[in-house]
Amino acid sequence: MLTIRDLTIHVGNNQIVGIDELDIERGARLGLVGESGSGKTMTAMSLVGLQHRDCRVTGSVQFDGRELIGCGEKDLARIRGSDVGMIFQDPLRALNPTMRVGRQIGEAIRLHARTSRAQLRARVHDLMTQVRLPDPDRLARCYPHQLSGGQQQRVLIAMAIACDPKLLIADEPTTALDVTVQKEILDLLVRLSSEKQMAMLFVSHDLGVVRAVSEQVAVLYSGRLVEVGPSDAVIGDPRHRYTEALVAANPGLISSDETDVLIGQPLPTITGSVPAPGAAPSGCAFRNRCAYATDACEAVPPMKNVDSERRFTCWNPSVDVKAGSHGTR
Amino acid sequence: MGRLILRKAVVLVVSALAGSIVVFLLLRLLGGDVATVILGPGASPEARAELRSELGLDRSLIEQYLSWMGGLVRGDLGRSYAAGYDIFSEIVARLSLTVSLAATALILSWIVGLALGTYSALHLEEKRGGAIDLIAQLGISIPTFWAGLLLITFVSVQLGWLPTGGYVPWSESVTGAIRSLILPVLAISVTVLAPVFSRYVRSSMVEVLREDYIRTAMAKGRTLRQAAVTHGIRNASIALVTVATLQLGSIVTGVVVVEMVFTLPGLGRMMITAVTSREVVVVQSLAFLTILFVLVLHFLMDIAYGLLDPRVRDAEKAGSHGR
Repeated sequence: MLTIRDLTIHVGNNQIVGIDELDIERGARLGLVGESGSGKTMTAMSLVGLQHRDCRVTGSVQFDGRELIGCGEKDLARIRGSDVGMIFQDPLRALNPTMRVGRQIGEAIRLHARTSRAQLRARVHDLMTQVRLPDPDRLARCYPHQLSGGQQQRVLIAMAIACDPKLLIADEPTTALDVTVQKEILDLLVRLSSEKQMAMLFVSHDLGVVRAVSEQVAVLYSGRLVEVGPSDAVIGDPRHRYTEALVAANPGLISSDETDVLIGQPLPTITGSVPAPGAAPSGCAFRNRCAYATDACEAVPPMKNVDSERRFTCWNPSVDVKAGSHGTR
Repeated sequence: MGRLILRKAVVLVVSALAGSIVVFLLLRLLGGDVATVILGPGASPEARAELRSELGLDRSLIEQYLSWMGGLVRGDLGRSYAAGYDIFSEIVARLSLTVSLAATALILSWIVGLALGTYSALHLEEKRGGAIDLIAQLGISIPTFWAGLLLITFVSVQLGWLPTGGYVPWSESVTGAIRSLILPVLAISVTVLAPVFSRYVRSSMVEVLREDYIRTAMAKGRTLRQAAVTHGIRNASIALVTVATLQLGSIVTGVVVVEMVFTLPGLGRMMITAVTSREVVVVQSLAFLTILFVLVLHFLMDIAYGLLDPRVRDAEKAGSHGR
């Protein structure tokens, strides 16, 4: 349904993102993972023309056969909110502070459908119920700052699903929320996606969250895909050394018997940070932070297929693909 | 909201009282003997003393202050020494002109400022945006009286479309009043208010356009321009209230200048005549009225904050000790 080919994003002369191939099937959920600065949000925004003014986007993004790159602003605006819904990281800032919540939800409906006032009110009420907002009639008259963080995010979700989109782009939707609220919002998103057969592109830095939400995961490093595949397989048995390091840095992903051994020891971290735009090393962009880097890594690693669903790009993977034997950490 | 209004109204009354005392004392410090002005420098000291006591100028300061305030409340400020008019009714008669002049200029500039500022923020890096900024700069640098003279020369004298000056009261002819106000309002708006407002809106709109809620609006299916209008203008207006409050002083000066240039019988003109003939009561009443005018506008701006920004209303409800 969504087909990305040779997508590049430039700021000035620096290439920030270069994605050769990434697809999302109808109703499927794909997690896009990476550290801050890896270009994941920029990628998500550029799909529907919401990138920053300074970004230059080339390549091809097809949605249901329609090419979106180079499409006019009006056409893109028509697709946004109707076929593609979006939710964002900081729900309070993503809502207009001077407009009542009900009106902001209603706006998402009105922009794509002609409705009477009564119909609109009923539809807003219905959407607010769908996202489990308590007392919709009262909350609709509130301003965003009068709601809790979780309620604010529910309002954003209600706006995003107002026109039953085929794809929901969720950019770090739970990062700004409490852990307990986080879980509720993730459950809601998964439930809505399954009920409505709504595909989801879930952008996050948190592998644990991504595994909970999406069947597929794509790992982004310095604007390039390093590993793509089913979430359980990729996180349980990473191939690319970067994915491996990300998994190791997240204690929540390690099984409980292993955690016992790790208690009292410092958590493993990835030294250094994602290279600044234009400062990535040649070849594999991760090689200056990678413990397994060899001379071979100075050349760009090719994409290798593990099977039809899984691929990665690394010269020294944690598992030797041909031999199939497991390497040690 | 009611709480906000009440609290600001108390502030208004207290400030007004303080203002009246300051004005009263300042004029007493300045000196300038009315009796000398009226009787001429050759008059005998006895004659001057007699006149002063007749005018009540020999009474104690507190007595004078109280009788002035009482007069303000009762609507009786006595007669002008030099021109002989009844001061209070003269002020009332001129008030409508000055207030319509200032209010119209403020409202017009507000609308023009929002439109131009938003437009130039949307076209920030293009020639169109720069051109508006340039025009605004030019407007600020033109003196109000000169803009007034230019308008009279072209629009009134050469084209003959509007009167060169003077004023037809609203009660006599509405179209006449509007015709006599168009050029003065333009002169104030073009040189004082509109360019300042539009530059301010531009910079606050540039900020607003970077806000997440503008992106949300676009995610719902708005174009950037639509998002700027539906979600940006109200938020950018909050900042404009602050600027408008700071510009109140220049509105007053603008009005005085324009009333002179267009020979409008407003309060500004009355003030200047009164100053030159040392009419203490007139000057102090008008100065107080100016303060009152600015304070009332401040009060209205505070209310506007509450109307524009629901967060201010809630902060007030919670009894916060902030603003």
